Amino acid sequence: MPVDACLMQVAFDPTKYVISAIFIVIAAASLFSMRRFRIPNKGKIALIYIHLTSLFMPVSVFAANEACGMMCLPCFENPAGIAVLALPSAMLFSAAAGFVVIPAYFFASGRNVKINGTRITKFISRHSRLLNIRAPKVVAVNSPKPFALSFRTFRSAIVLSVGLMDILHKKELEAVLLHELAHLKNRASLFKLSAFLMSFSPFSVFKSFNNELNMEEFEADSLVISVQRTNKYLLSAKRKIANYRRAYGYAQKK
Amino acid sequence: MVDISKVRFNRSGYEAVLSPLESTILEALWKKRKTKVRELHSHIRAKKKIALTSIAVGLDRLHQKGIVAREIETGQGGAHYIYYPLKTKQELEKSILENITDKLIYNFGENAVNYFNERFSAGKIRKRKRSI
Repeated sequence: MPVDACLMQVAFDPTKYVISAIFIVIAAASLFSMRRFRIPNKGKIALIYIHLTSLFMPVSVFAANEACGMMCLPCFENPAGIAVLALPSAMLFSAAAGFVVIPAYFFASGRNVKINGTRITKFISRHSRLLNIRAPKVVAVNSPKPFALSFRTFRSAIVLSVGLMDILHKKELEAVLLHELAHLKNRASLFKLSAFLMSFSPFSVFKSFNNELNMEEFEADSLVISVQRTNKYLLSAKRKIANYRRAYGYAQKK
Repeated sequence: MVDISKVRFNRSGYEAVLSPLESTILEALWKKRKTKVRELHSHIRAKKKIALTSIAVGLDRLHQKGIVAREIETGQGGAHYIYYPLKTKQELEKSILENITDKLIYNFGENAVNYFNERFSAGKIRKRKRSI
């Protein structure tokens, strides 16, 4: 068969329109259920990934179809098989980014800085026992910018930058550590990442997770205040980090 | 030394290419040699009111420019950076002069070289009055 004929045949192939329509319906349905129903965080995470996958699926279907037409190959002889293969693989790909790539990056960049046996790790092990969670690994990253984050994948971990330990004193650093421990206790890391990924969808206007994320931060802060019995150190730590960012932006402009 | 694109001749010496914050920090660092951010802050605070975070930012900028170096030291309170100057004042000013002279030769070509020959061949350095 000549190539032009293949292209024409592919262009009017009804299969890809059917597949695209199905996935657009799935995307709309997941968006609707995120808006309409009260679902626990795990369900929301699943819906976010289903929404994103089904939203970008028509694009990839059309691209694959076009490529098949160019090379004159029969592409969509078994549409159900393609859908069964494509959906889990796309979900797997997006989950791999959150579960493997980000932790691996921070573990690799924190390899050179050893902070085992310091006051920080002792504090963490004591308070994770009080909160009844497994003690997370503490990773220090060689970066002058102050930041702290936590994730819970195969092994939960708290990441601190050396710049953060430079500018905060003992009590302020403890406030930051307690904040991250509260996130680990709430198992918030995956939800926070997924809520951020949701902003890649053009329909994130209809459902944004700002409220839920703010509530999560609020809960983490309230744990810090209930343990330390004051919000002084938490606020001063936040002020210092904000000041650093402001000063850094000012220095960059010069 | 990082590329110089802007020189403020209303300030003298190395301060012409560094920001006021950076020059203050560098001056203190030359006195203290090896120091942590917090120690440097308590040293500077006696004379001038500068926030700890500003000093951390200034030191990072100086590190990016290759004027200071840093190491990580682990203590009881966690890991900290220790900063120390890579260049003395003379070396720093020499590298700035080198950079500016290279820029002049690149911009003006032969004219610049001829002028330098004409001016410095007699073996004496005339100080001109400021005309601008």
